[in-house]
Amino acid sequence: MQFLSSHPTPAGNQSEDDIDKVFKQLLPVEPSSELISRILAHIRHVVRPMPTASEPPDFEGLDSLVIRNERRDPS
Amino acid sequence: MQLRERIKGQPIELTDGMLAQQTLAGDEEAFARLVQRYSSSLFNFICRFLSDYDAASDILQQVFTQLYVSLPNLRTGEPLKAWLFQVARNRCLDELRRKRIIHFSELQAPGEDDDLSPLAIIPDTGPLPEEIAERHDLQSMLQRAIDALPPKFRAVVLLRYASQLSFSEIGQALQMPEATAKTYFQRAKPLLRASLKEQIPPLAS
Repeated sequence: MQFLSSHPTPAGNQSEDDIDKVFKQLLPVEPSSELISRILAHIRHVVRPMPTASEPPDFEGLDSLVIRNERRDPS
Repeated sequence: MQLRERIKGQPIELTDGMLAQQTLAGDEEAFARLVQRYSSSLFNFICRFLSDYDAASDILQQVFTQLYVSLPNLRTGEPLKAWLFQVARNRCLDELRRKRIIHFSELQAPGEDDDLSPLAIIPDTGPLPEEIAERHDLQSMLQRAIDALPPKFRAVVLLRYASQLSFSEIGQALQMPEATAKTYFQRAKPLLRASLKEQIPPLAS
């Protein structure tokens, strides 16, 4: 297997090399259902603070599309 | 009529904002849906970042707890997904710092120092006997290659490969320009390639 070769993806705008192909085989590590239950049980005992600002939370922002930040100075 | 019934029969996909709003109104099920929506991708990222299942479990809980207590005052102006991964990355770095397994200089903010130290470039290629026995274990090989990356590259690589984020989303999550995220990703690839070649020589032929 060659790691140095690359070829265009079906999308055409990015190339996919063999590193990409190998890492496509990276299996997901799933959280157990017990862990999810533990988290939700923990949350039920967490006291949520009251809003500190007069403005309501920005829920629309949570659903916003990702803003392209290419205009920021590269670091 | 038939169309209406079909639409009526389909579950309505609530947005993150709607679920957050319902959570604030006291709907615990709404928060559970947020947890279900993001727990897999977050846990995959955290677990791969730390290579520690137990620590990843604790951090996943911390991330969702932080979301829960932050909801009343959340004004991120960014998508919830990016906010969650940002919190997860920061918690992972805290954990690594607590374990003292990375140098402070590696935790610098993006752009403070783009040059890699010579030590960071050299992959950890000395397999132990038990590691030799795992050579055919692709997952172990990939994880070792990830572990050998400097943290700032590791985050980008995992967000891309493990969590399937776009570079725009990675930029948001790591608070860096999208172009920088792409650059880090490309600079990580030679390091991954070097690690994989050294650990699995047949793959390099």
